[in-house]
Amino acid sequence: MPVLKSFSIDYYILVTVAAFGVLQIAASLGGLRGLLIFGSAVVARLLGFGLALAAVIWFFGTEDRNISDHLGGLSSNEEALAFFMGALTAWLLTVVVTSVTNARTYRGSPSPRFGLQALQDSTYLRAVAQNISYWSREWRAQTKSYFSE
Amino acid sequence: MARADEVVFLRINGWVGTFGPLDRLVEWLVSDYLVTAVLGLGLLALWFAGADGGTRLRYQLGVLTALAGMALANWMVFIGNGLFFRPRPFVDLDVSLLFYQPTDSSMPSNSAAAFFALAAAVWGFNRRAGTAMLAVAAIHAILRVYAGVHYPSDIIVGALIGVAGAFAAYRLRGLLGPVPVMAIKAARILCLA
Repeated sequence: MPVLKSFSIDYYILVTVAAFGVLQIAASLGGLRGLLIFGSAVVARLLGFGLALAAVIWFFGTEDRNISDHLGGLSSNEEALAFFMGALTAWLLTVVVTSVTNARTYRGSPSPRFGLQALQDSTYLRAVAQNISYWSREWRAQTKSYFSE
Repeated sequence: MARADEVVFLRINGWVGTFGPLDRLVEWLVSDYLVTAVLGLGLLALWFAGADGGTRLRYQLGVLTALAGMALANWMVFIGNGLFFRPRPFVDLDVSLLFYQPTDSSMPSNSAAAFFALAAAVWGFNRRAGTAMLAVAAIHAILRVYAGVHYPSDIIVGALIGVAGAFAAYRLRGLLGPVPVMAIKAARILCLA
């Protein structure tokens, strides 16, 4: 059974924390209030920048990271996988936390065709639940027009 | 030409050790991880950052194009490495090294190709973010020379390959027609796009 390198885990943590911060910044830029942990865009950007910076300082400040993949560093594929998993974890953390904290604040019922745009007035779990409910009813009638419009 | 490459390399690499804290920072910046993460997180931010539906769709198509451009650039580097091998500067010259000793070909710079492909593709749909990413890619490339792992011509060729990869990805996107838009619309059902 393959054993995860501690380097992989460290890189995964770096990306998870930094991506969590970057998602806060991006959500504030895109007006996706349902994804913001705190209501203020300024606070979201400060939090995001702080988390990303702290993650970088922790990752590079604690150990020498200039290591060949033959000597314990990451190969390109391992790095890409750790990045993807870290970004995915950050996304999941963001949508779960904000769906709970914003549940009473953002209760909009946007169009099921809006995608991320729905998160301007709704939490992620609420919007996805509405979309799944809509598409499970309407997929026969709406799929063709949705993809062709 | 090769002699000029060595002279410029030795001049830039000769500054190593002049200011210790700067070298420490350079070790972070030239690592395989920092700029990769910064540019990757930049793409993640662009995916979500459009202020309206139309802008967001344009950004998301651009992000997919940037990833395709990077893949094409990596493929071109892979082909190039099979045809041509150039030893790293530390093999032939007295070098102050701020990086581990890679064993692959010095020419072209793989990281320059990948980063310039991402940055050039982003420049195609968002000038401000693209310019910032091009600046990051350029600083990283120059610092790789400073750190002793590439000749200047390695990063120039790598950057040209990257820009070519981005251009090819934009052309490829035109050939794919509505497929990328349909993929993004499918992702909208789960509020992922």
